[in-house]
Amino acid sequence: MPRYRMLIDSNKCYNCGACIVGCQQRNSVPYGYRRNWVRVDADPDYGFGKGFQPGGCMQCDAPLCVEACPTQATWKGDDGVVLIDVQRCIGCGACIAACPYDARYRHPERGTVDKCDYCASSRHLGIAPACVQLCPAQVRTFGDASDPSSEVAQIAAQQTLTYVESPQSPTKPSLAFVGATTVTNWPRAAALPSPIAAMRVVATGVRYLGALSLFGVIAMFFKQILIPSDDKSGAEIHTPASGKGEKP
Amino acid sequence: MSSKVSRRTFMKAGAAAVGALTCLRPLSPALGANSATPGIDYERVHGYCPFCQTRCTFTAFKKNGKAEFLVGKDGNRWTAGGMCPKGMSFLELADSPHRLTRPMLKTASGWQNISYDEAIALTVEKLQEARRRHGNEIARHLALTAPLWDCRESELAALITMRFAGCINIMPPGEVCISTASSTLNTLLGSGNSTTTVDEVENAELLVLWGANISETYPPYTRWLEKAKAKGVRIILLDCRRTRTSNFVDRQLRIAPGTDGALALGFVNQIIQDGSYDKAYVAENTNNFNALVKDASPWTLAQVAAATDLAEEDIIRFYRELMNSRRTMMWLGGSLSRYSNGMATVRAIIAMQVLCNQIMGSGKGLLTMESGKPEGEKEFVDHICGRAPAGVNFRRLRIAMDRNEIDVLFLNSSYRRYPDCDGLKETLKKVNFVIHRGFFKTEELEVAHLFVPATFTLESQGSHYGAEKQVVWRDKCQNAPGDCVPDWQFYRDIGRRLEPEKYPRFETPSELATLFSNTLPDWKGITVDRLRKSPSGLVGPIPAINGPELLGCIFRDGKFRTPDGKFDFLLKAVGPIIWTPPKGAPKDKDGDPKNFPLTFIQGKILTQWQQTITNFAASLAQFSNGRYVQVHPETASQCGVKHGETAYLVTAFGKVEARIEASEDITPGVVFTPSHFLGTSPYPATNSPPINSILPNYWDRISAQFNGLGCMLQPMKG
Repeated sequence: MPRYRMLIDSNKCYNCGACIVGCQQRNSVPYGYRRNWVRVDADPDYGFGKGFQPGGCMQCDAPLCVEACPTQATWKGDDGVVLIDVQRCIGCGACIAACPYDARYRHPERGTVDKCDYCASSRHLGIAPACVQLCPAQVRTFGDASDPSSEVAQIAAQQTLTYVESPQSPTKPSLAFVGATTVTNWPRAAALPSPIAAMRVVATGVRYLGALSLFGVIAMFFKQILIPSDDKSGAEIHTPASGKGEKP
Repeated sequence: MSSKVSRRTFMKAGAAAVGALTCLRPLSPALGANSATPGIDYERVHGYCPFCQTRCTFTAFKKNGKAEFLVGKDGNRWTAGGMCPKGMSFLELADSPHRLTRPMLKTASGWQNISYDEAIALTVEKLQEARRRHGNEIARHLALTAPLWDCRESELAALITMRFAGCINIMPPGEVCISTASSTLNTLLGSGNSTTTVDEVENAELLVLWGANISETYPPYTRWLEKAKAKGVRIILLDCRRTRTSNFVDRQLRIAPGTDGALALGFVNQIIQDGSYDKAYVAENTNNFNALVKDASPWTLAQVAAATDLAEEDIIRFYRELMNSRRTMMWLGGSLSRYSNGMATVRAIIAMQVLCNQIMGSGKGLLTMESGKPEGEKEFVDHICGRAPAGVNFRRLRIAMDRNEIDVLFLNSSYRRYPDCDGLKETLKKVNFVIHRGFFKTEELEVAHLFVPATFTLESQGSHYGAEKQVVWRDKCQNAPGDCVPDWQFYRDIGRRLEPEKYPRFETPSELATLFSNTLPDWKGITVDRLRKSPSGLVGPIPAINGPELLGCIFRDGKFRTPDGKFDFLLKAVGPIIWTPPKGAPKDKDGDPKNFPLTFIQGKILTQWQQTITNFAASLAQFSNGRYVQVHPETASQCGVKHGETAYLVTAFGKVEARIEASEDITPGVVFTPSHFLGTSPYPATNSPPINSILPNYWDRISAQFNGLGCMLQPMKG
């Protein structure tokens, strides 16, 4: 299985916004919401006095968003991409709060959370992610890092990579910057909303209780198969047919 | 009545249900759940961006009859598949809820929808009526403003129709941008475009971006700056503003706006005085060198420094870099043409290159980003319609409109692109019948009598051209909504009714393009089939079928394209190169430095294209925050305005509200504001009265002038 990775040479970026609009159009992201971004920071090393740092979901190897999700709607795939199952996402926003990069947003029409997945929905067409393909400065490189002949693997092998990571909430980002980049410590400390944090404690208890109940049900199931009860001596289950509520 | 279920039956049913659910939907990501949309295939359609002369090409991915997203063509040698947000916005604009899709006729009770056929019939009737009224004098009473927002075939169809209608007054789009540079290049060198192709920057030693803000006005071409840098080319930027382009240059000279000509003449004077110009080349290839000596002689180092606000040591260093470079290219920004002294500036810069033998050869020459139109259009129209004299420019047309002399005007572009646009609006109201071709509700509807909706680039096939003189092709991707029709169809349908026997027979742009390439010898090799296969387009001319594209310097025989093959330093029709400050500037004789001590400049920004279409794009509005003026903090302080607050930008001709953006990115004493805002934009982020409403109707001999005027910032409370 491929292991997708993105590398960004932020020194080439001039913040034209093509990556943002291209991503919005490819992935039906409403204008005004973003799966990716370009940070602007004062930097005297550049003639403009500003340096630009494109970004997006860092596809972390220790993603806090995955930990935060109460419904397991998001996970790190074997292909290196952190994905969201929109069927299971309840839009609670816990993952949004947990992401140190603010790489997630709640889709205003669907109500579920959305984020960069390296344009997974169009990967079968054989085209690179929109932000990679449309960038006029070829800032981003994308590919299968497990293939040593791929451009992304070669850059990773030959160049110094810089990781942008929250000092308080390290997440082992897989997305990296080629050479130096403007600012590396901007990601914030991750924080869960207090109701969600409380729910996680409750959910743990519920999970154990559920597991215990499930164990009981399974045990009863096997017991019934191996040592069946006497149907005639045992109680029967009566289900009401007319809705008038006959008692068993 | 009740039914009875045993425990065993219940357990079996339960186990079966759990098993079925497990099969239908994996319970855990570890079991392989994936949210990616199941693969669907798309139809792929070739296209190009209709906006700037970079002319990016793309593949539109089409599903259910509509383009869903665009992918730049990686094989495009000029753009390598890049695009910019402006270009991508038309995907959204084509489906915009604000789009007007029905022809409308203005009546006493307001706008009324009419059919397309009625619109054509009415237009033909008005043209025929004008013909009956004016007879052989008809040419003075009809006009058309370009650009057409569609394709080259639309331009051809419109030109043929206009010619058959008796109209010769075709307003070139460049009158508000590059016409000064283009006309000057054409007159002096015999080509109104770049003298070479952009890939030659890699072969230069020195690249001067003379007012050329490449990264913000033609974003995909930034890659050529990077390529040049990678080859060790030294890049110098001349601009009073620090912009994104500044990130890609070795040095920037923050020259005072509109003083580039003084800097160029200073260099000319310097190398003439010290004898370091290429004497043999000049003797053999130029005329009237002595005229140039005289024109440049006043420009001592001190004079240049006083005019340009540059330090003498910076000027000396710049001149030295130019003299030491064996291969220098100069990229002329559109801004040079937007001051009333633009012609003198462009002449002086060309003279610099000629004196140093830096025009012909690899890694030498002049680049421009606007224009690029391949030759042959006039010859084609003459071939079909017969020869006709040239028409007037817009400055003269405005005078004619003021005199009630224009019967029918085809208004294809924004009138707000011209200075004194409020005055111009009143002038346009004097035209008997104005037909506006557009997309949205803009101020043009106030002066139009008939509106006929046009199509966007995805909705028709056709060709276009770019800065490298490359021709590109697009196929039709999707149907236009309502009664929107492409320009080639609109003008063809009028032309057919005017001259049913003579009007060329074509049903598609492809047929007209084929007729064009079959008619003109230089276009024989630029066939539609070949264009379809080329991701970059084809650089003309290509006289032979399957002939090669010729890149690089256009002077392949070592001669200028002038009647005697030489460069003339003296333009007899214009006179000597006399540089003065821009008309109305604080330092100009007509300026008012007491009341208007600041220098006004306007221009394009990265996320907007001109004054109409892109203002209606939400994808671009997300990058904006309303009209602003960029001003140095010291200047803001002197004017009593603060960063972030709203103030008035005032000229002697009016004022507009704008947010103050105090920044050291602009030199003190200069005020910059974007050109694009529109009073009818549905988005507050791009809605503002047109900036040209506060500018006077200044022109040089060729084009309208917008920059360099004296201005002032005024606090709202004052």
